[in-house]
Order: sequence, then C-alpha cells, then structure tokens
Amino acid sequence: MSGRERPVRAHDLFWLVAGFSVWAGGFSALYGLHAIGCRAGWDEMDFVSLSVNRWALTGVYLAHITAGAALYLPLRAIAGRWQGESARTMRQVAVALTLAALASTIWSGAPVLVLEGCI
Amino acid sequence: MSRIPPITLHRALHAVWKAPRGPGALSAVNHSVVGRRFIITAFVFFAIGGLLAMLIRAQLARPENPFLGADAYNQIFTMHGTVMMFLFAIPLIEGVALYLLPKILGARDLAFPRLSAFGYWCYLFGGTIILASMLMGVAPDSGWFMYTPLSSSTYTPGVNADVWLLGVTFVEISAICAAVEIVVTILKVRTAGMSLTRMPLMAWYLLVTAGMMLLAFPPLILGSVLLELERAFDWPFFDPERGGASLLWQHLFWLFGHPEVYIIFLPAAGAVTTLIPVFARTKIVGYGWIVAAIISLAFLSFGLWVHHMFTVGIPHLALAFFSAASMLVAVPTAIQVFAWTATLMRGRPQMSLPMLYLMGFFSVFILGGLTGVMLALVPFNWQAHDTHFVVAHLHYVLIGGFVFPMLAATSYWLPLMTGRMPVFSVSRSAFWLIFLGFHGTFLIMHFTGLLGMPRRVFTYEGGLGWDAPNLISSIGSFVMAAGFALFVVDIVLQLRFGRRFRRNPWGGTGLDWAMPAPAPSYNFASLPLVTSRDPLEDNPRLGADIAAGKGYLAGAPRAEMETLCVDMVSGEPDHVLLLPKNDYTPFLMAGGLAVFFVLFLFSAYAFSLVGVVIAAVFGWRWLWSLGARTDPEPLDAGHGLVLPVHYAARSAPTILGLKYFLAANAAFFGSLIFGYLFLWTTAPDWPPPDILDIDLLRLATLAAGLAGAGVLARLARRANDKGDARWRMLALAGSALASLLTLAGLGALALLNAPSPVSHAYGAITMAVIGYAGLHVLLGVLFTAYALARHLFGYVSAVRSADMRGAEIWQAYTAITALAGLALIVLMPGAFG
Amino acid sequence: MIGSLLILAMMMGLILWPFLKRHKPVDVPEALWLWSGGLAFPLIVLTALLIWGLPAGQSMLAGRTPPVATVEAEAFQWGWTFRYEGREGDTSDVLHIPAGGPVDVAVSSIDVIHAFWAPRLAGKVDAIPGQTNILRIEASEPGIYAGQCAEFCGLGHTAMRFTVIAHAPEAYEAALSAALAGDGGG
Ligand code: HEM
Ligand SMILES: [Cu+2]
Ligand SMILES: [Cu+2]
Repeated sequence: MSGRERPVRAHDLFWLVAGFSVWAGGFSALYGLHAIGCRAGWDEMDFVSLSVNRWALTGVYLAHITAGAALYLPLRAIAGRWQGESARTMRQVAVALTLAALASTIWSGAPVLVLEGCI
Repeated sequence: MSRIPPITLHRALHAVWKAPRGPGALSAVNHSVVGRRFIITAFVFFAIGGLLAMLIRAQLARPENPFLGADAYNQIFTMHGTVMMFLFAIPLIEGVALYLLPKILGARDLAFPRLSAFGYWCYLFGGTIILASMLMGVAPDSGWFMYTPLSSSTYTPGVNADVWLLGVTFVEISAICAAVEIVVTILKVRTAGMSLTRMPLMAWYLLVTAGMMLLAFPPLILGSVLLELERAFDWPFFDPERGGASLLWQHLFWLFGHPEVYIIFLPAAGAVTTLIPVFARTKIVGYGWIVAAIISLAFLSFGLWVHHMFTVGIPHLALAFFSAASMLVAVPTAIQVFAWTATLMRGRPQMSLPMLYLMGFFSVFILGGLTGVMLALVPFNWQAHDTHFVVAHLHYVLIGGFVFPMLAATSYWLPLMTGRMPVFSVSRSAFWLIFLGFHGTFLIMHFTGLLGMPRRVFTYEGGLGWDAPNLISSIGSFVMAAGFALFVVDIVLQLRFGRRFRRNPWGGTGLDWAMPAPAPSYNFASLPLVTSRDPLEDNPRLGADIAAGKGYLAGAPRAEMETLCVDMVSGEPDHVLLLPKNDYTPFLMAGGLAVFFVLFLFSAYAFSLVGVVIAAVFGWRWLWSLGARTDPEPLDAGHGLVLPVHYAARSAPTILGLKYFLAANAAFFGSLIFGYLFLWTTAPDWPPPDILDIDLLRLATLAAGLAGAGVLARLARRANDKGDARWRMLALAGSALASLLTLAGLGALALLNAPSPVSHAYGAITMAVIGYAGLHVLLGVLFTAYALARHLFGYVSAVRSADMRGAEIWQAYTAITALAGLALIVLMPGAFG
Repeated sequence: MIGSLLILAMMMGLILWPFLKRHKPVDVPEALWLWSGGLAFPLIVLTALLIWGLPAGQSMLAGRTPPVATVEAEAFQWGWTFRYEGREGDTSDVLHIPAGGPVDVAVSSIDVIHAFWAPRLAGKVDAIPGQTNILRIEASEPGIYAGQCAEFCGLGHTAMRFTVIAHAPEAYEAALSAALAGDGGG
C-alpha cells in the first residue's frame, strides 16, 4: 500500500457503520420475508424437497453473508491507505466492526437453517 | 505568548458569558445553565417517581391491603414507569451530556445553545402536563407501554391516555433536539488537535447514544401520533374491527423501547469507563475495542424489540432471530466489562466514593445481565414474562446499569459544579443504605416472580407464599428510599460545608479538570492544543496555561462568544463558531407548542393551531437571527491561525444539524412505511373493499411538481455558488411555486380520491402517508419563502450560503420521501389488491 | 441458576481482586484478555444456552403430534369463556381438559389484550383481538390448576383468574357434558 496515502476523512466514517448496516438489512429482510411468506402460504409450497419459504429465507441469508464478506475487500484497500494520527485506531475499529457485523449476520440468521415454518 | 494576567482574561470573558439573573433567566442558553437545569429537573422527577414507588410498595406490603384501589394503583404504577423512563432517565442523560460535552471536548459551548434551551422548555412543559394530570386524578393508567386497544378511546375514554401520548411526545421533541445537539457538537465543536481517536471515550459513548436516539425515538413519536389520531379523530389504525392491528402499536413501541434501555445504559457505561482509569491511576485498556463494542451494541440493540413480544403469537422462527440477536448483545457488553477489569488489574485502584458506587454498579448490573440472558430464552420467557421476575430484572438493569453509575458520576463531577468536595462519611452511609435496600427489595422479588406473582396487580391473596417476600421487598424499598434521602442530604452538606479546592481533586487527565472549580461560565479562557488522549497528564500545568490565555481564541477581544469548530476526523481547526447571546425565542417557541398541546388535550383542535402558529413565528425569528448581511472577515484565532466565521464556512454546524434532524425524520418516515406494510400483511380484513383510485395524469403532475421543486432548489443553490443572484432568485421562486402547486394537488388527492380515513385502517394509513408528504411540502413552501426573503434582505451571498443549502436539502428530502410515499400507496393496491 | 451465580462470583472476584492490599499492578495483555474474556467466554456460554433453548422452545409449541383435545379460550374484560371442539355451549372461568395428553388452546379476545397463563401447565400466550393464538398445554396428572390473566387489561386485571380442571381421560367426556349442562359454571 504505497503512493496514494491520505488522511482519514469524514466520509471514511461510513466504514464504522457499513458492516452493521448490512446486518440490519439482513435482519429486517429475514423478518419481513418470513412474515410475507407465511401470509402468502409459501411454507406449504414445496420446491425441490424444501418449502419455498425455506428457499427464500436461506437465499436472503446467504446473500447478506456474501454482502457482509464482500465489504471487507474494499475496506482493506481503502483503510490501508489511511495515514496520520487517527489512522491506526480507525483502521482497527473499522475492520473489527466489519468482521463483527459479518459474524453477527451469520449468527442471528442461523435459525433459518435449523427451524421450520410459520408456527 | 499572551501577557495578559489570568484575572483580566477572566473578567473580560465573564462579562460576555455570564448567565442572566432574575426574569432574564428565561432567556439563558448557556450549556452549563441548561445542562444543570436538565439535571436538577430530572432528579426532581426521580424523587416523584420514587415517591410513587413507595406507594406501590406500601400497597403490596401485605395481602389484601385496602390502602389503594385498582384505579389508583393503575395510575400510580403507570406514572411510576412513565416518570422514571421519560422524565428522569432520558432527560438526566441529556442533561449530563449537555453539561459535560463542551467541558471534555475543550469547547466553550454546544453547537446550538438555543436548541438545547428549547429542548429544556419542551421537557419542562411536557413533564408538567403529565404531572398535573396526576394531581387532578386523571393520570395515564394503561401501563407505561400503553398497549392498544386498552389505551384506545373505547376502553380508556377519559383524557388519561391523551395526557400520556401528548405529554410524552412533547418530551420526545426535546430528546430529538438534544440528540442533534450532541451529535453535531461531538463531531464539530472540539478544541484544536482533538482528533476522533483522541476524544475521551465518554464522547464516543455519547455520540453513539445520541445516534441511537435519532433513530429510536421516531417510531415512538409515530406510534403516539397515530394513536392520538385514532383517539381524537377516530382513524382506526389499531382497531381490529376496522382493519387495524393492535400489535402495530407494540412493534412501534418496542422498536423504541428496547434501544431505549441501551440509550440509558451507554452513557452510564461511559461514566464507568471515565472513572475507572482515574481511580485505578492508569489508562483505559482497549480504547479501540470499546469504540467497536459500543457501535456494535448500538446496532444490535435495534434487533431485539420483539423480545418483549414473545407471547403475542409470533412464529417461532421469527422469535429465534430475536432470541439469537438478544444473546449476541452479551458480547459487546462482556468486552466492556473485561476492558474495565483489565484496567483495574493494571492499576492500583482505591475504594474512594465514586468507586464505591461503581462496585454497586458491577454487582447489580452483572446479575441483571444474567437474568436478562435467562429471559432471552424463549421457553423461560414464556414462564416468567409479566411476573415480578421481570420487574426485578428490569430494576437490576435500570438501577444497576443506570442509577448506580449516575450516582458515581454525580459524586465525581459534582465538585466541578460546586468547587467543594463531598462529605465522605455521610456519602458512604448513603451508599450502603441504597445498596442493601436495593437488594432487599429486588433480589427477593426474583423469587416472588418465580412463585408466580404477576406484575401490575394491585393486591394478592394471602397464603400463596407471596406474603413474606413482599413484606421484605417493601421494607427494603424504604431502606433504599432513606439512602436516597441521605444522598440529597450529602449534596446539601457538600454545598455548605464541603472542603474547597482549586483544581483537579481526583487526578483526572481530561480537559474537564483543566478548568478551575466551580467551572467558569466560559469553561476555558483559551482553547488548548491537544496532542494525546490525556492532555492533563502530558502537561500538568495545562490548566494554568489555559487560564493565562496561552491557547487559541484567548479571552473575548471582540466581545463575541467564540469557540472552535474542527475537521470531524483530524480535529484540525476549521472555522470559528460565534455563539448566540441569551435569547427568549426558545422559551417562547416552546411556549407556543405548550399552547398547542394543552388545547389539543382539551379537544379544542381548531384553536390548538394557534399554538403552532406562535411556534412557527418564533421559529422564523430564530432562523432569521442567524448569519449576517455582509461577508465576514476571517478572524485571528491566535498562534498565527486565521479562520473564517462559521456562517461563511462550508462545513458549518447548521447544515450538519439539519441533516441529522432529517435522519431522525427519515426514521419516522421509515416507521410509517413499516406500519403500512405491517397492516397490509398482518391485519384482518385486508385488502379493503374501497381503495385509492387516481388517474395517471394527476399522479404524473404531482410527481413532476415534487421533482421540480427539488431540482429548482438545487439550481438556486448552484446559481448562488456562482454568485448569480438573478438565477438564484428565479429558481427559488420557481421551487416555492412548484411546492405550492404540489400542495394543492395533494390536498385534492386527500379530499377527492383517497378513501375515508375513518371507515378502515387502510384509509387511515393512506391518509397518514399523504399527510406526511403534504406537511413536508408545506414546510418546503415556508423554507423557500424564507430563503427568498433572506435573499431580498441581503443575507445571502456565495459565501453566506447556508440558507440556500438548507432549502436545497429540505426540498430534496421532501421530493424523495413524498415520491416514495406516493409510489407505495399507488403501487401496493395495484400489486396486491 | 447455579451457573449464573458462578459467573457472578467469578466476575466480582476479578473486579475486587485489584483492590486487595497485596495487589501489584499487572501488565495484563490487552489482546489476550479481551479476546478470551470479551469474545470467547460469552460466545461459549451463549452457544450452550442457545442449543439448549431453541429445541426446548420448539417442543412446547402446538403442531408436532395431534392433540387429544382442542378447546377455545375467549377473553373479555374481565373473564374467560371456554368452548370445546364438537360440543355445544361453553363454560366460564373454568376450563376442563383431559389429563395425560397435549391439549391445544385457541386463545383470542373480544376487547383488549389479555393473556392465558396456567403456570403449571405451560407458558403463556396473549389473547389478542382480531387474532387467534394456539397454545399447547398438558396436565400429566388429573387435578385442579390455577390460571391468571397475565397481560395488564384494566381495572379487573388482578381478579381475572381462572381454573383448569384436568380429568382422567376416561372420565373426561362425562365431566365435560356435566359442566356444559350446568349453567356455564363448573
Ligand atoms: C427507587 C426505587 C424503586 C422501587 C422501589 C421501584 C418499584 C417498582 C415496582 C414494585 C414496580 C412494579 C409495579 C407492578 O408491576 O405492580 C415497578 C415498576 C416499574 N419501575 Fe420501578 N422502582 C424503583 C425505581 C425505578 C427506576 C429508577 C426506574 C427507571 C429508571 C424504574 C422503572 C420502572 C418501570 C419502567 C416499571 C414498569 C411500570 C409498568 O409496569 O408499567 N423504577 N417499580
Ligand atoms: Cu385480562
Ligand atoms: Cu389482565
């Protein structure tokens, strides 16, 4: 990481909230989709041995995990160029938050994999 | 560098900054004054809430106690919960933040002193309305979470519930104001060199807390507005007979209510984080860890709201998401606790008075956290939900996680306010009475709950095994009350007899102790250059240097109230903020709102608009007083630093404040959309027979009007940037006109096309979305008209562009939300109808 | 329970230890301390709890095995009306169920929110107007069980109690008929 080093700027604060915004999006999407699916009777429609509801939820779950993980790459590149007095701590905090958010996305959506249905 | 003696500097500054006395006190806007008012008022409400708690415990001391009847008991416990949560806990946090922030950030005041003064009056007036209802015997009586339909007009016909809805909303306005104030102050109004990562952790805690307040209060405000619309005008949002859903209220309430617990907890944890290293004589371990932990906590706490609704019949899978998320919050909490223990390990801690309260905090809070984890388990929750076990858990968290740290903080910072030290022997006895009384009351209450005693019952039969534990709880609560009384006695003694000191009695390392005590009205005679997290440790003589004017902006050479604004991240000085003088406007504007709320309470709906007009007039006057009619000269800040004045700076706090206010507004709008979708997917009798029908042409006109107003406001700002006054005026006028036409169009839509808002919840929520858009367009008209007037009177130039940027942002926000709202109400019936 | 007390004792020990006279400042390694105490420790405890908690919750819900009886509980301010599948009439404030098997209770309300809670038979579920919630209860032994409205519902909330009578399966039909024939009482 050389050459284009620069100080941390106000818009870099975005990285403090990006990861958990993905978590929040995933959480709301799972909750909302589950409610809609139950209302629409998707839990009773089967598709390749699993209910449509299960497919939809698992899909959303994996999509948000992917999105959360995908944040990490640009963050590494951008945070690597930060320099100046705040750079080290900000980098640590941003990376920790992005990874923690990813872990949270995995954890709080995990019931999708084990539990069933609309009861 | 400066040769002026400190006392001369002090006199000059004090002449500019001193607080007004007598009736003029109503015009005070200084942060120390307003913060102190918040704190004192909050403690008065704490005493009132505590008195109510004593009545509760007196009633429950014996089975079949004839002391209070069901009606009185219901009012009392509802008021106890409401007073403690809305009139004590939140305002106390705001007060502490407003008082401390400039002092720990090295500033002379907050970003918007008048805004926090306005917030204080809203709080005082709203709290007074609620309190007055209790004295008149018509206090709210549906529980502090006011579940519908019990709180709807069918089952609570009197004014009781309206008092809650209107009074609490009034107080919430003050919370939103305080939150904007806190966020902007922390991000912009710091001393030179204080980068984000050199900020004291307390500032991080308050920043995160205020961010949460911006997102958490709007759902509650929305819920209150909808319920009040139902009660006043019969719009059936929550009435299952007409397509409403009573659970919508619960979602909106807990969407606020759960984050609220963390909003209360985080500043208290911030105080813990501040105090521990001071008394352990070392530095905090894991600064970065703690910042990451509190940001995670803030987010996660929004994923928990349903855990108060485990018994309402939500599918198990959905509950499992919330169960998992509510366990997850244990991790950031544990990180903080271990950072604290590691700090203690590294240091040589002493059991001084604030530390004693912290020990109380630790022991109570950890147990509260553990019972919380138990409650987060679905099967256990089904058993313990709504028993006294929950009451016990709640008080372990609230008193342990909030009251104890706040008592610690009080004993730590009170000397800064009074210039005197506490009287130790009295303080220690107070602590032990509170601590033992607390456990006597609430430890035993866990068992009462496990034995099956429900909460919110005004009496119980003897012989169920509940008699003895209840009696013990009641005795314990009186011991605790005696402890609090002694705490007050201690404060009085401290004021009269406490030992005087000059500076830094505890050996703190932050800027708050780099000023003489009692803290002067202007905080710092000059603003220091900060080069680390512990400025007072780097330079123990910092206080004297500041007082001698060795920092920036020494004294008041221009007879102005000045402080620095810095770059958000690096803390490099960016411009000079000129602060407003004392002003009656906030008081009068809040008074206008009070007129509105009181008249509304008495069902004088048309007259109540008078209050809104009064508030709007003073709001206009407030805005008008900003800025100047000529481009200002840059100011000499000392040490060769020459900075622009804030209204000529691009990153002025005003615009930032507007943006954060709009963030809260967006949360409000998002909650409204959530409400629409929630009703659509879960309420009975949807979709309704009678839906919105609108022809494409009218829709396209409306959309064009909204978009046009937004684009024209943007063009006006761009023209202004280029110094083109003619186009600035034409585009602004065009934007105002477009908004006016759109307003007429929306009015026609509401009157001619929309289904009746009273026959079905569909009509009600559709009308609410149209109303939201209409209100914003109306304000858009006012904003653009205001900008035009400012243009005519010469307040606007390419350099003084805040009015133009404000109008641009408002019109853009209006266009986006109104278009989204229209799309929703037009497309949903098409897609699902 | 024991577990929480242990954790509490351990934490308080950690906190109070540095206050001892003999304590010398120790340079605890930040990363190790926070990784193990702040992350690993709660995660292990929580995973254990979650693994124990989720299936236990699932099994308490209606739906797995067919119930031996289905009843309806309708709440009002302030009392309960119980109806029985396939039977005419109702009983008020007394619910009759067969012992020894799962019974599904369909809980609803005609006015405000109440909650059906018979502590020794199952958890609780809210009675919400406009919505029906199913709760599975089971009495292993015949007997009389107390129940209580568990959501605040106004002036009569405290007194909104009910009784569940569990009959031996062979005596259930007769007892139910007798109860329904009596004027709604028990
Ligand atoms: C000073 C000592 C206190 C005592 C003795 C006390 C006692 C009680 C009791 C016995 C109840 C249960 C009433 C019932 O369900 O029948 C209760 C409810 C409650 N308390 Fe306290 N309390 C105290 C302080 C606090 C504090 C400091 C807070 C908040 C910061 C608080 C917040 C609440 C809330 C929110 C409720 C629930 C009210 C409701 O059910 O609607 N309490 N309190
Ligand atoms: Cu009830
Ligand atoms: Cu009840």
